[in-house]
Amino acid sequence: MEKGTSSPKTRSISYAKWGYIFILPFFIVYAIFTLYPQLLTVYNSFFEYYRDGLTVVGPNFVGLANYKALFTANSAGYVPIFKFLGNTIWLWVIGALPQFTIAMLLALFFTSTRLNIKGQQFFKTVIYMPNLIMASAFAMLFFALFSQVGPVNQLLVSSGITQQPINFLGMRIYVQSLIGLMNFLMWFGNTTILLMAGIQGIDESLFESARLDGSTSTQVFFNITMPLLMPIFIYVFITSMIGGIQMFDVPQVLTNGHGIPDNTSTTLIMYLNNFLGISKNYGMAGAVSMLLFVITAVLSTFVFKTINKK
Amino acid sequence: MAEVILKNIKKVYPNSEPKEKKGLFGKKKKDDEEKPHHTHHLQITDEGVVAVQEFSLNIKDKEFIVLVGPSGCGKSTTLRMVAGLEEISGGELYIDGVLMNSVEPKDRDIAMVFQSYALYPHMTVYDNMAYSLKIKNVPKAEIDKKVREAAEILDITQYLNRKPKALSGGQRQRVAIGRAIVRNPKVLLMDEPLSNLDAKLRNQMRAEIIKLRQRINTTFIYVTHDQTEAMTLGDRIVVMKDGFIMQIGTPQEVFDHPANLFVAGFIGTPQMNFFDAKLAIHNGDYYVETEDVSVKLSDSKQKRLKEKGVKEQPVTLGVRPEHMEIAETGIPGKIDVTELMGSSSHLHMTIKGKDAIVIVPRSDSQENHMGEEIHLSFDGSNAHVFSLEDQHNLEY
Repeated sequence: MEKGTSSPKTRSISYAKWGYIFILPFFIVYAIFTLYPQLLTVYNSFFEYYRDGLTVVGPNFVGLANYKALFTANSAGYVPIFKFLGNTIWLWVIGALPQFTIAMLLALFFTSTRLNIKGQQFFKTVIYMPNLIMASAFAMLFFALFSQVGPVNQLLVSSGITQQPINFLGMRIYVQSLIGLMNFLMWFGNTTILLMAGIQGIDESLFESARLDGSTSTQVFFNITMPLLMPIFIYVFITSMIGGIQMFDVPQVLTNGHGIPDNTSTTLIMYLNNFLGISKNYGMAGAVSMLLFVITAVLSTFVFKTINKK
Repeated sequence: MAEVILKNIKKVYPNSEPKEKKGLFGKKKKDDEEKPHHTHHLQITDEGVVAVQEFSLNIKDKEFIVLVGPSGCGKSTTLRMVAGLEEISGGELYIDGVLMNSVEPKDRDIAMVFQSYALYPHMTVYDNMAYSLKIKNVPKAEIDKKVREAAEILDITQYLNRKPKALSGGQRQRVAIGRAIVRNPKVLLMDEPLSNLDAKLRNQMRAEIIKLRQRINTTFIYVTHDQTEAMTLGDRIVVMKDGFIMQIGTPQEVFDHPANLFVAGFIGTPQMNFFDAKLAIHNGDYYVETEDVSVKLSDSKQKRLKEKGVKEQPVTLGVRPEHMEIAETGIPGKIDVTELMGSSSHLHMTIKGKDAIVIVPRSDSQENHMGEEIHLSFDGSNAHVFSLEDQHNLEY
């Protein structure tokens, strides 16, 4: 063997650090603007910390007192958090049910190779449009449309359908229906497009095979389409539910933040927002936020486990 | 268990563009011709792209018909029209004497095996096979019996509780076949069922389809682009090109008497060799002549050509690789590559500037080496003569 020769040293180059460097800006922004406020929210929920006139009270550590206060009945004799949770779920359901139903029908309609609908791109754009409008602007539009002197009432009175203008924004059934309708209009296009993508992802030969196996269109839907669309549907359902629990801008703007009539359209986030108004009660707001987090996590897990059982 | 009749079947995919392209001021452009024209070999007319036309075929009860041809020839489209998955643009389709043109696929009593298997991924093998029976409300005990019988035939009993994703390609194909036969359909359609399998498994499954055919009494329509599958499986094969039927016949007929140059080149591996030649008549007998050889055609060929009154003319001469042999004199050519195939060798040659293949016994190949010039001869009974004008076989 020649003197001085040795086996060459192997050098490995790690590219991993570049990956970390590239994603670092996101983590910095996330840490400053999301993680820190979240941790602060958790922290605040255990403190008495609010403004009373010009005086700032706290922060004083109170343990679980804020949480306990959330579950205490108010002077009107009900526990606000339960009522507003009920409102939130109900307002989401009346918007989401038609949203899923219509979106599914439209998705089936547009993806049907037998119908072969023309101008699909146009319809997809049109039904997605409402989603591009800011929720608050949409709510302002409805507020103007359905106010006592709005065009809807003018039309109803002038056409003789009603003698007096209807107080749409003062009656529970109308306010809740309008909120449901707005949520439906804003989101059905988005859901349609997601479901269409899901259906188009299913191998066409499965539908053909099912038809040859003797399935009717209904049987194809329930036995083939729906089970194979379930992952997309779960995604749509859970994201809609999370969005529903966080419902704020539409009822806030439509009811001017009062949840009229009689708090029947006050949602959990509106309730939370009330703590951040004049009183700046970060302690109670933190406790409501934590509760919302728990509710969202529990419901999402429950839905995922239930639908995805098979 | 049914007779299938296709009468002058036609499939046209309508144009998405307007029928008439108009120029400025609504005047028709000059380059818009009334005559149909061809793009990518398929005919395009005012109606649209013609995928299949003039397709007429009588499929007998329990017959195994194979539709074979290159990609885009219309074989799968024809099969899908039989299944009801494609609308029939023209002509008539009868199954057991009943006109089926507007009958829904579910009401045709047809089963189909897809190239992609089309197994329901969320169902077990058992449920996949039982699905068609379940939706027809067949009693559970009967479903169970039929599924297990089919599984036994296809040797997939041990996989009944598995989901398709837990099976290999070959096993999935068996399940797809099982799902089709469990219904005992009138007609069993197979759309390139072996295309996704590797060569070894394909050979094995081909043999199993032959065995299966003996066990189940039904009419088969099988689509493939693989001429070996067509030759080994079919009672009759239908060779297609550009939407037209090129030839219908038993595998032997199609191999021995190709109707035209396309069929001659498509059927048979390796492909038939073609040479420029002349059909000559000497003393009332037909000869095929190249620059180097003159070969008298066999008696049967003489008879057929005489009956048709074929005149002297330049032709394309076709001779299969296995029908050519090395000789002292004959057509000269240079060996480019020698492939040892076991008992024989394939000599890849250049003859008159064209590629050709000759199959020779192994001993011959050992004497001949790459780059060597040799001469080839052939027997008059194995020469096929094709018209230069329309490429049809002059004997038929």
